[in-house]
Order: sequence, then C-alpha cells, then structure tokens
Amino acid sequence: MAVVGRIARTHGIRGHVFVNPDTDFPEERFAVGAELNVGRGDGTWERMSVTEARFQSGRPVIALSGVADMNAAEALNGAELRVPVDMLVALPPGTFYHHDLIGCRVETTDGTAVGEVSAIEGGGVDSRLVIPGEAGEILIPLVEAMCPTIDPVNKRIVIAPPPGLLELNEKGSQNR
Amino acid sequence: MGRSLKKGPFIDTSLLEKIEGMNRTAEKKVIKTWSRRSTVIPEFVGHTLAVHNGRKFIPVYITENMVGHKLGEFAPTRLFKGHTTKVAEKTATASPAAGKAKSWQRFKHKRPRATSGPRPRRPAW
Repeated sequence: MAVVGRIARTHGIRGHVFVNPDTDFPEERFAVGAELNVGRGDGTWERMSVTEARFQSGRPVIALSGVADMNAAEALNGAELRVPVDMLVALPPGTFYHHDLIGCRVETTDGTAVGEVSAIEGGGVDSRLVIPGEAGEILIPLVEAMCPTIDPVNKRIVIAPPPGLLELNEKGSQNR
Repeated sequence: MGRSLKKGPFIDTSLLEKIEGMNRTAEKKVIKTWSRRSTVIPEFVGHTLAVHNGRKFIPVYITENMVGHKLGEFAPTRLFKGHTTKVAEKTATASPAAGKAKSWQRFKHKRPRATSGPRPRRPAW
C-alpha cells in the first residue's frame, strides 16, 4: 500500500480531521466516497471512507466514516492514510512514485554496486536518492544525466556519477 | 530590496574560477562549496555542485531553471519532522524512561537545595 497522507489533528467537534497530504493528487485521494486504509498506532489497519471533504489553506479537512465526534477523531492523530498500489494513477514517463524507487539496487554504468535506495530527499527538480553505506551516506541527484536507467519493475537503477560524487560525504574524509 | 543591476549577479571568485576552468577543459567533476550566497549563472548549467548545508554536502545538478537563484536555496539547512501530537506527548511523559533527565540530575553537584529544614551555616572565618 502507498502512503497518501497522515492525519495531523482534529478540527471542530464533529469528528473532522486535518490531513497532511503526501500525494500530488489530494483532490482525488480525499474526495467524498474515497476509500482509505487508516493505520492506527498499534499496528492495526481499518478501511474507512471519506464522508465529507473540503480544503482549508491547501490542506484537506475530511470526515471519515465511523468517526462522529472529537474524541474518536483525536484517537486518529498521527495515523497514516494509505491506498492499495493498484489504485494509483499511471504517471507520465520520467516520473516515479517514491515507493517504486525505494529499495532499488543502485549500480554504476560499469556494473559496480553502490547500494540500495533507502529514501528520497527533496522534491521536484532537486530530488535526491539516499543510499546509506558503511562509509557514509551517498546522495545522487535524481536527474536523467545522472540516472540514465531507472527500472522500477526490476528494482534497478544505473547511475553515471561524475568523479567525486560517491565520496562526497564519506566519514573521516577531509572536508576541503 | 533587490541588488543593483549594474553590479551583476554575485558569485564567489574562487567558485567562478573553478567553473570557468572546468568549462575550458570540458571537465565534469563535483565541486564542493560553502558559498551558499553565490548566484547560479548560465555557465554553471550541467555541472554538479556540492553545497554545504552546515552538516553535509548536498549534490545539486544545475539546470537552466535554477539560473538566477542562490545555491543555498537548493541545500536546505533544516529538516522539519512535524509537530508532536497530544497523544504522542502523553505517552512520552507517561513512561519515565522515555523522558529526558533534568539538568540537575545530569550534574549532581548542582542539584537544588532542599527548601525545608535549616540552612547549613557558613563557617565563621
């Protein structure tokens, strides 16, 4: 399942909640009738549907089925909202979902293994792949010139790093 | 107030010299820089600059869209992890192991004096 947002806090006394969206399509994800999997802190997941939705300063304020008052809504603070992966819309070529890239094996054009992507930093034009390593964290700018092959199906990314990129944040290396 | 146009964009000389040198030799290597105040100019496009954010170097691949902006704009210095919710706050305070030790607990010689009882007398010199 893919994360589409996180419940921030309650709003009002009728069980509405503010959502911090983690999606580029909040209007579709948090529309009335949309189904969401709500993850509680104890590791249980509950399927709920959106019964009311509006936007306030760009953030969705939604009401979920079965959450009628403020006390019930308060119990959802910090809960993760997910949707099944097959519900996600197809992206245009050259763009990827974070969960498709996380876990990919990274290797250079000459076949040297670099590591595995653990997270994506930044957003938009300055996104970076984060690859943890024993010598330190490796950051790779997510641009076509640097990542010529991205194959999310086979979980493989081929990079063409310029000299000095892989050793940039090495532990114990001289800063200057 | 914006910078006067007659001066042109500001770029640290050391950084500009390195970029111009690489452009002459058609070389592409990562340049470490602390000069977050330097403006991106068209000569930078296609290069990768490692901009320091106070903790680590953030590699920034310069594209045309970045021209006119400062390098520091692409290497954020702060990481916002969200506010703590009331529920998380309650659980943190409920378990003493999770709470941080008070300053006087870490420095025992500076523990507060007892408020009740007689105060110790100062020796007469």
